Amino acid sequence: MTSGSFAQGSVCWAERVRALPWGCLAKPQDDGQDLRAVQFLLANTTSPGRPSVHVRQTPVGRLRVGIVYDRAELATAGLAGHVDAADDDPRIAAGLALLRRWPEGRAMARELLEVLHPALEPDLQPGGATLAIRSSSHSSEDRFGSLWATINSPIGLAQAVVHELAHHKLRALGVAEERACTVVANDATECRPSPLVAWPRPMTAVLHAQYALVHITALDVALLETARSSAERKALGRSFRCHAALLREGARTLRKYLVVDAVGVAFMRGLWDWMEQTVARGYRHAA
Amino acid sequence: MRLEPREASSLLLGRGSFLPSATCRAIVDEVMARAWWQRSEIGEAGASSVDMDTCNSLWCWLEGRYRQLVMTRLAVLAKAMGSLPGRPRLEEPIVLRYDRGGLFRRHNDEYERADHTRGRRMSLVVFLTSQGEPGGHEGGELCFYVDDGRGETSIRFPGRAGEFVVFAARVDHEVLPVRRGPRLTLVSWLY
Repeated sequence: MTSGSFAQGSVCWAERVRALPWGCLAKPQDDGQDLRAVQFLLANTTSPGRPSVHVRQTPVGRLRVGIVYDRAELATAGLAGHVDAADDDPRIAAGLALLRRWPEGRAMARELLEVLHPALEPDLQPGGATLAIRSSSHSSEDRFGSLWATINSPIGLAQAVVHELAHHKLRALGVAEERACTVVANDATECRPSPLVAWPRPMTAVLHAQYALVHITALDVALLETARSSAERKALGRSFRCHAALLREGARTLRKYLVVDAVGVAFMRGLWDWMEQTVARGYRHAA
Repeated sequence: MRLEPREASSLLLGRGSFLPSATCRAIVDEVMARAWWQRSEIGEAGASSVDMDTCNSLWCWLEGRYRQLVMTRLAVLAKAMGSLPGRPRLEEPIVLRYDRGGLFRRHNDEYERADHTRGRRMSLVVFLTSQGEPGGHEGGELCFYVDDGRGETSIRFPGRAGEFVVFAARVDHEVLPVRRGPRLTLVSWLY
């Protein structure tokens, strides 16, 4: 699937992209080298879905909360019926605070997240089951660093943040949902089962779903390992097992059908090692 | 590993048994479960490209416990085939996978410009799946085109798991369309 390439597509530029440490880019690294690679690509490349290089509008670590996505776009994404939330809703701070328990996830949010568009799912009663983990979220390639997410559940919001940042990161690495200029080499018309939706999707989208799920699962495991109560442990155990089952489905599809390029071999090895270690760690705590 | 008498053409250099079929099956299971596959490209390195009408296959590196076994046997084979004195030089073996519809039209393995392929003398193909057997492939014969002095002759190898064939890299050959796959082979080049 090579519809398009990094816009600065000289041989020299292609060599610089190939020279990135692709084996270390899938997993959030404690030394931040994956984030540096993402920032390098954002500052120097464009794509059909991100026609300009990205320039961060807020200082690193400072999050702006506000309206980003319009109702028409959200409705197209299947997210009609939500209402915008107040930008000082305490559940936002509570959700973001949970990321401290996964340091690599927090670093990713600190470096990549710029704008949060908070929303509420009206059907979920406030003060109901506070540990009901539930979230809806959305982001788009042309608004790097921004995301829309429901905030009813703090854990759900934390999951939504790492979920959408995983999409942003993968897009910055050259893999959009419907096309890729690196890593994935399948034909864009080849559609296979996705672990996140009920209809077949291009292999780029299947990889996106798997990549987001690994991030959510890594957060589940980090929260499980630092659970503050038996109720929290129970809820996170359920969440982990659900996500681990979806990962198994996605893994089967990717192993069977994914075709990669040279850097994709290294990227997928790194992703697979991380996924397998994360799931094994999770089952030790979710038994 | 046993080398049989050379084929009528001096360009087909040897064939015989390279690996037990059970080992081939284990390698197939391993790569089908764990490998990340890349689409095969044709042309000189640096200017190569995917052309699925000419070459429709996937490839992966052979890794882990079977790589060492294969490398050891490749070195023995290279020596038996009269590889140049000193440490036998060969290319890192890869596994080629042809699914249904896969093919590689007539070509040879000699390239001029790319450093890593200059000086290739012999090509090695080891079949990891058998044609016409349960779990094997259909079609996908390896077909050689040689001139025996009376004109061009084609010689077809259906392929049996564990069997190898070594031939001069300049010999024209092709992989005929695979009707049922996957057809898996291990390939390398000797210098």
